[in-house]
Amino acid sequence: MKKRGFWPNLLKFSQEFISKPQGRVGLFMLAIFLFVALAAPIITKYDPIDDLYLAESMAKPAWVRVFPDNRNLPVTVHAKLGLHSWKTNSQFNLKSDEEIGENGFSFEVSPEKQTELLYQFRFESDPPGTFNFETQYLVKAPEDNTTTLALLMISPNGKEWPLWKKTIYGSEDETELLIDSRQMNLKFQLGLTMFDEVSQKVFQEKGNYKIVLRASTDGEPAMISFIPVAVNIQGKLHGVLGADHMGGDLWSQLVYGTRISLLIGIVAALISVFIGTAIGIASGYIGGFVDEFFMRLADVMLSIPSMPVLIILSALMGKSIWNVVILISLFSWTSTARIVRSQTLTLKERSFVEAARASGASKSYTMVVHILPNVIPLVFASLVLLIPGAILLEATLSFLGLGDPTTPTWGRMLHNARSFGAFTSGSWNWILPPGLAITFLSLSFVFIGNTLDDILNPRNRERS
Amino acid sequence: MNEVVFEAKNLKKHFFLRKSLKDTFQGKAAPVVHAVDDVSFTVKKGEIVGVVGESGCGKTTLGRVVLKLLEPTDGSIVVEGQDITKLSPEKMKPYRRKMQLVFQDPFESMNPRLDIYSIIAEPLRIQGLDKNEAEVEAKIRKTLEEVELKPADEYIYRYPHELSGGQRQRIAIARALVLDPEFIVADEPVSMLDVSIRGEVLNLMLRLAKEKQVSFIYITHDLATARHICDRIVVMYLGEAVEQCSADELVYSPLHPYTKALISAVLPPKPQKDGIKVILEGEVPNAANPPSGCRLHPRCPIAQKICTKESPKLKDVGNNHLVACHFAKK
Ligand SMILES: Nc1ncnc2c1ncn2[C@@H]1O[C@H](COP(=O)(O)OP(=O)(O)O)[C@@H](O)[C@H]1O
Ligand SMILES: [Mg+2]
Repeated sequence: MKKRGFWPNLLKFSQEFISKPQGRVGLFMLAIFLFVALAAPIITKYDPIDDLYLAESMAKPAWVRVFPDNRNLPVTVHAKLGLHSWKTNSQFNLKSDEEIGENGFSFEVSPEKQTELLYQFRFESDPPGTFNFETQYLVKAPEDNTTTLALLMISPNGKEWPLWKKTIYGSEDETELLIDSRQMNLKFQLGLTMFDEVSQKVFQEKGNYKIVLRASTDGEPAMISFIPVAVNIQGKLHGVLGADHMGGDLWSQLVYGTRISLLIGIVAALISVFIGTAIGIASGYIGGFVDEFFMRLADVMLSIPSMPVLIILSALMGKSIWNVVILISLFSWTSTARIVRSQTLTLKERSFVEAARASGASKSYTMVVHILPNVIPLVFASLVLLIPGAILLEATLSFLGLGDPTTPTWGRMLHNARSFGAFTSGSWNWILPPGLAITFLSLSFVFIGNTLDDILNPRNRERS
Repeated sequence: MNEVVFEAKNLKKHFFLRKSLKDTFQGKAAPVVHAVDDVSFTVKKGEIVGVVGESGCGKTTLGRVVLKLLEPTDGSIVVEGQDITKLSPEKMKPYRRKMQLVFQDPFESMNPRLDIYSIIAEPLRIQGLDKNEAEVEAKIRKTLEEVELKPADEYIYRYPHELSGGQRQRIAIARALVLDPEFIVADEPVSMLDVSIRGEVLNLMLRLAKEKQVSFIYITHDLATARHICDRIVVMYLGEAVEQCSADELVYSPLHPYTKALISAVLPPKPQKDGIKVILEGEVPNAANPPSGCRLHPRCPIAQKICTKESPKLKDVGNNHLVACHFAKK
């Protein structure tokens, strides 16, 4: 069957929507959030849950360096030194080697020339608390070769810090390497006492630092492979929004939180609108006992304070976002059910419903064919208006520590902020962003919902 | 022409209202609206029967009871000799094909989200007659032409809001016709239309009755149009049928004072008749609390003592002319 009327109607509807300032603003805000949610992996390179100790505990955002007080605070450095990062002398060729791992690289060493990979970077602040290097290496050489690998740092004044040195006889399988500035043996290796901080000594100066990877061998040429060398300097300043108590990246938590909040809000609202619509149509159309039962149930749901019940239930059901979604849905269907019921009551009296009855239509036929399509626009507005409620409720539950600790949500950020002293230490960079994000995301749905309501709800419209 | 397709026997429909708190304290019984009280009539094949009365006298209720859209409180409904009063919705379904209705408001009677095709196809689908879509479409086109919406192509995929009131009312008639019913209840089908197109729609009904032998129960408050198209007319007052006879006889020799009043209100007085203009005084009484005896007596110019006590029986004064008045004589 042809549906000629649909597209022109949609066009007219969108024009009407766009013509309202509230609708425009809401749509614009939502578009930003949607973009952030979809592009999360591009916007931030850190994992919101698993990447810890990226910076010092409760590091401030990197950009606060613009204030003179913070000019000398160390900024976090996270670099992966791969194939293209290193400067090489031309005696050997560095090539890609996926065998050892992602973005791995390898090079050949021969007795003629000690080979050296060099990476230079500027460091222009006070010394950081700690730093570390992480990588994996693999050596392929004949039995009787002796291969030496070393990693060192060279200060701007030319002083060399031999951070690591290893002598390998023959070949060696994949081996992990972690050099941490807090290691005792490293202190002794560098000729420091156990009370010295390696990072304080190494990063004493400001200027160009060099990281050098040296390899040499006797006998036949040897193949040496590395995965990109991770250089982590935990600064007091970090990223866009700083770090939490565990050195986790707050910006990535905020960005990934957008996904969860949108998902929870939309799924919970969809479920509750689905329940609400079904119940609303059934009680409005069937009436009698069914109506009485569901409406009293709705009264009960409305009158019992949902928060304590939600707290108890979520404590009983365990911490998972799907539990939160289900709980929120169970408590938010009532408003939709009421709206749909009252609309159904008026639709039921419209004569096209009676015409269908006069042809012998069953109740279910009438509800699906005549009532449902005519309550959908209304339901649509109420769906959008339910989303902010669900988002806020989820944030509240998470804030109270009843959310899923393995899911990055805004409520969880605020919960951690409260638990780990962000409020007392005035870590505005931890508290404000999730708070504002919750506010603006909710607001965008309220704006859109109000506009939809204006356009779609017959009560707000002149009969045309 | 003389085959009876429909018969209403002593139909009653009472609405039992909820007691107000005040009534409960005063010990009064819950009010009962006697919307239809003891109405009987028959409809023959191809006949148009008019039901005429002021608004609020129970015409719409009667129409809905006749179609069993409302359960009658008492009395029986007979379709083609079969009593359907007590049938379950399941058993009713085949009979629904025989009886259809057309509503007063053409703006309310169609789902705004469906196109004309779907609207007219709906009765076929509900009745399970839509197995072959090509046949459905052919039937819809044929029906559209029967209600003089030609060419069908111009209407079939449009939406109700794109059509005028008169066109919509034709669509409504098409929807009623598509099941080839025996009779159609048309509840004030032209009262919401422009005067200029009322005649066309009424003539359409007249033509369908003649050519397709579809009977109509034409419900109206307008005696003039009823007289124009009806074979027989039932006059209702406060839920009761007060007079019933052929259209011409009703207009030229009305017997009931209420009928007389209706006629003098709408038709120019006939000089050849006695010329008395009957005008009723006062308001239509509350249907929840009808007057005792003859329900017309508080407004009737010829009321006597007996009228306040005894309710007059509907009696045949000859020539199948039924009237319920203590003083009605031929
Ligand atoms: N569902 C109902 N419940 C209670 N009273 C009703 C109901 N439907 C109609 N009535 C009453 O029945 C009487 C007849 O109404 P109706 O059949 O609509 O009259 P008409 O169509 O002649 O104007 C009116 O007094 C009306 O108030
Ligand atoms: Mg009516």
